[in-house]
Amino acid sequence: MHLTRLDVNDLRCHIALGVDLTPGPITLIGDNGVGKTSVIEAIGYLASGASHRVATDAPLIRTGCDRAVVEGHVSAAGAVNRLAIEIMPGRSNRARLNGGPVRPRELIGRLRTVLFSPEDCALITGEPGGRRRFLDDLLRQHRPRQAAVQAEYERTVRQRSALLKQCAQGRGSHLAEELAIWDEALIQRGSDLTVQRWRCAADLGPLVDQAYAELADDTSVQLTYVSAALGEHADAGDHAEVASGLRNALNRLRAAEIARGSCLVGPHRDDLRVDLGGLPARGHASQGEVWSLSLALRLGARQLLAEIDDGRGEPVLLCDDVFSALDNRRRTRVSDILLTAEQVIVTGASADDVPAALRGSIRRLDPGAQS
Amino acid sequence: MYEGPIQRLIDELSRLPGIGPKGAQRIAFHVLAADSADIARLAGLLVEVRERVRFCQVCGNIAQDDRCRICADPRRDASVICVVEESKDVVAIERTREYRGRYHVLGGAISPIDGIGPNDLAIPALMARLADGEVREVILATDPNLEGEATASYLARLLTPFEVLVTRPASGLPVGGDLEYADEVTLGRAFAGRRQIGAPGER
Ligand SMILES: [Zn+2]
Repeated sequence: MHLTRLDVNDLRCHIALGVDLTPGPITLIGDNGVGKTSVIEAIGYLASGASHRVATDAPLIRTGCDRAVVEGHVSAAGAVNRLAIEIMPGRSNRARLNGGPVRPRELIGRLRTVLFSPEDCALITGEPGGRRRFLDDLLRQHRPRQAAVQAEYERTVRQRSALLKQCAQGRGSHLAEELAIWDEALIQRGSDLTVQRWRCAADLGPLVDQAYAELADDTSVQLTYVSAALGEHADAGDHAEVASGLRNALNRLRAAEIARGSCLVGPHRDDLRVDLGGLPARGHASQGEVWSLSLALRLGARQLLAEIDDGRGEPVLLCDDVFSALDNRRRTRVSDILLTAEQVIVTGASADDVPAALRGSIRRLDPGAQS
Repeated sequence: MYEGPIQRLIDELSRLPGIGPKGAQRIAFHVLAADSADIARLAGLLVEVRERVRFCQVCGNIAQDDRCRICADPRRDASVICVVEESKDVVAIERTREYRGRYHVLGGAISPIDGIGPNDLAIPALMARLADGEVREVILATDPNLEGEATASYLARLLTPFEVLVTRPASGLPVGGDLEYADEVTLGRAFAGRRQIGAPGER
């Protein structure tokens, strides 16, 4: 698939940006501060329904506006679909598909993207939250129905945490009965999400291992989904086992959860462990290995999305200023891999930041030329 | 910012559900340009709705008297109660013409984030209606979303000691949605195929 047109209105610094796009490599050039990353962010939002940079939508909206609009024309399987999302913090987003109103969730999966960014090393070295986000983002694009599962789980955690806080304060009169209901909600939705993530990690693992072999060497890479409720040796791919593990953990942690007023166990506390040569990469891998591993995760994701058998082709690749930090050898290797994509959108402060082979068709972003 | 009453009107309008700042501004300027008799009628209705519209003392539905049209209708089957979140859900279910029983309007759903617990809903009134043993079936038709499901589960547990059949409209309703937005055919079918929901822990 590829984008043929992108319009971004009132998102971050963009008043009204419109660009026509072609298949193959496209380079977005512009000084720092003209909003190159925001363009990448906007495309990612259209694909996955969330920003890769911020957890809430408020920072996305241009100062003085109450909404931002992103519209993309996606060419896939011989047809062009117009996807538009109206981002409205504090309210439900609105979406349109080919001009007709749809639920925002129905857009997910119609544009698939994989983003490469300078912060990717944090996928290996950083906190589990980044790896959960990576996995959830991939899962939504891979199996769009998972967007609903994720949203419902997040809301369950918020509802249950609010109730635990009430329990801590002793407010209300049927708290034990009410908590039992939200325990079941957390167990049911939490086990759905756990199993889906576990399967996604299982599908992704061999693809990441293969990508690492192409990028670096044949040291083995292994992905393990670690459920906080079950421990790392349990089979988090079995629904009944996850549900009973969650139920046991909730019973075990009852007093602590009430004391803290928050949900202490469930997939929002899980992790995706990355092992290199049998050792946890976090803490053991060298800087070069970390770089190769984080790139291999993204390339594995690209492969997983490319293998979706719906005739819509491989995902659009987005590269946000990834080349300036690389040495020549790596630049060449990465650009060789990216060049095979149906469409790859690369940003840089100047054309020199982007390997010559990838420059393709250049679009210049100027602060003055956006309206 | 505008001066005086027009800005105050915009502010008030934008506090209403579903109306953003731009919409509020559009409505305010429409009011300014519209025929003054039309606006007087609208203003009168806003006041009248608050003064005249009441809630049914039996089921909590919107009513003009002590009892709503449905509770006052002797042809409606008093042995079946359909529990819904809001009066607008009654309207949606009535449109299907599938249902001949009565209703009970909870006035919302359990939602700890919003500080709404069982005590904030018309649950004691529902229990009171079950006391005389005339009711044989309670249909839990709360919204098919997280809070609606939680409310239905809570009520199902609460109703276990009573000798009533507890059912939930069959799936097919859009998950994560609002009952009132379900189309008539889907909602009708969901009512026709409702299933028993059971003992605590099952669901
Ligand atoms: Zn009534």
